[in-house]
Amino acid sequence: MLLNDLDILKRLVDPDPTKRIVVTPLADPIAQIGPSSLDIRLGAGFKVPVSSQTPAINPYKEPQSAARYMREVDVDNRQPFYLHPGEFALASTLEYIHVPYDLGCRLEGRSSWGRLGLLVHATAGFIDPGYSGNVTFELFNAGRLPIELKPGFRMAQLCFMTLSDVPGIPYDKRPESKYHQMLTAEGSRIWKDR
Amino acid sequence: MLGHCSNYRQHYLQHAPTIIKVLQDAPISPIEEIGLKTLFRNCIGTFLVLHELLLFLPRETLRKELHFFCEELFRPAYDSDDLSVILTSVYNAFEYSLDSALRQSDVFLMKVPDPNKLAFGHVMELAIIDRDNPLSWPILAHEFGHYIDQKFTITDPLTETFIDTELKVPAAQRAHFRKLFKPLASELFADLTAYYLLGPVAILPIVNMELTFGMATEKPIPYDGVHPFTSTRLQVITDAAAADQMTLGLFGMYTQALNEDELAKVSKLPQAEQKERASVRQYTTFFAQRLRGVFLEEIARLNLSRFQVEHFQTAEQLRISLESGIPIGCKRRVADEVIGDRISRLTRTAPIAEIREVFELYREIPVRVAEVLTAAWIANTGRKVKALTDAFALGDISGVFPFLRQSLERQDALVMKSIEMISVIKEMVSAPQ
Repeated sequence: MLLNDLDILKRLVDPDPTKRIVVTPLADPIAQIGPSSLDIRLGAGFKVPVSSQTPAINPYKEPQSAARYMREVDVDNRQPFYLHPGEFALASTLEYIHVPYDLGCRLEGRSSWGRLGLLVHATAGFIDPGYSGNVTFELFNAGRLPIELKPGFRMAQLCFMTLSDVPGIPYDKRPESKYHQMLTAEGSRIWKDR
Repeated sequence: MLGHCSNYRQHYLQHAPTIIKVLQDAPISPIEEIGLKTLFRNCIGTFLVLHELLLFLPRETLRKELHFFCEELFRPAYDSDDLSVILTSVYNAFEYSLDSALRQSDVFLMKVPDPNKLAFGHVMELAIIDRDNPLSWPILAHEFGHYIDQKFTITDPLTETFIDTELKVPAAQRAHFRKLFKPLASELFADLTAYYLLGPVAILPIVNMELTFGMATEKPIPYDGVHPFTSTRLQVITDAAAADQMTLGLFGMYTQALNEDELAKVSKLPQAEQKERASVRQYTTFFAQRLRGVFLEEIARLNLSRFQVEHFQTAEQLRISLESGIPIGCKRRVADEVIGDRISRLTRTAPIAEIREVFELYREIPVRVAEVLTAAWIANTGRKVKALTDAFALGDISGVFPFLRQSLERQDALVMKSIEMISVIKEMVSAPQ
């Protein structure tokens, strides 16, 4: 069951820490809280692919090929980051989030950006119960003109849904979890797959 | 830097007639020859020094979070490009004048100048190892204190007045007392500026440095004639904080460690040296007590943003979130319990305006960078023993240092993220989407 606005808000101040959703900072609640979602913003760190020295990504035979693939680009808050047509970049949310054990969370795009051809995740829109940290956007410009992005833009929305029950092993307790407590845009760690 | 080089344009124009004569193989007088040689030597020297400085500088840029830290604390000086920060390859923080650096560089030996011999000015060094270590950045606030002291000529006249009116020394001895007190005044003023901007934790990076390096030596840190003993500096800040109603439980650990270390080392010194140190401590403490209030009044005239007791209280609250692993760049105005009560009483049929009023209670506003750093220092101080205990409880000795490193880096990353949050939200507010 999808949580509505009031249920999300109750969870944000729930006195029980195991039930509490964390989304901080919530800089403009009236703009950010939708009927069943909560908008999140773009942070100031980006990563862009560097292909000139890597012939192909082969995560299992050559783990460094995946690690080397993305290069960090720091953007001053007053400067834009231009995402050109057909380009891909990773970015971090401004918000730090925590999903309690009894909820699942989905990262969804916003219609206003979608209509310009901007995708906010390539394929991974699900955030597991127990996850804490900043969320990484997988930005792709599918349109025909460059898009000017600035830290603080409302890029996407989070939806929360109740689970049938608390999972046996939540994300933060699972040794295989690769992206727990990330604070910046993180490149793929696919080589850690078994 | 470009301004310094542009002076040469004027010099070249002045010597243009001579240069034309040389280019035309016309004879020049011995005076013209000396003038031209001096011009070339100085000009080439400048460019070699610039090259030398660049050669020795680390190839890393400052973090954007550090720029924001400087902008928030030191504006408008930092905004107007009057003040700059560079990274150095040494474990040092220093504040100096670029002109002084250029004059004192020994081009022919390819040596960078000794920062301790440079005049104060507008370039602040930060050790490269502290690039990603925000808890050390308050050292720059101390260096900023030297900058404003130099720019507004604050401590020199106040020290003169102190010598004349408080000490009432005979005219013949004034020069000696000036030499004794002026460097001390400069350091105390810098410490108090850092305290004014960042609160009491501003002194802790210096104390920490002394605890780290000083404890590794057999002898107590010698008195260099410039810096009071660190324990005296800590006491000055503790007294200032107490006067501002900031209770500093966190300082207890540092004060105790510093005093115990110093006492043990001093007790092994010859009697004469012990007596000399006691005398230094006595007069530096007296001097600091007499001038602390005057210095703070002078800083208050500069319209800088003062760290006060309410900021300290906010920091103590923020520390709780930080210890839970959550970035602390923003806070709600209203307590969670109050909001919880309002939202639980809200019905779905309530008027939209009332619902939006409750939404508004969730608004988070950016805190000060000084509050974030204070929270981080409080958390850091309280956490040290636990971190060490946890690390050594692992049972695997090879895992101890990676564990400690991870624990320290995690907090630094959280502080960086907090500063990023503050800067992004402040920029959003100043330039709404």
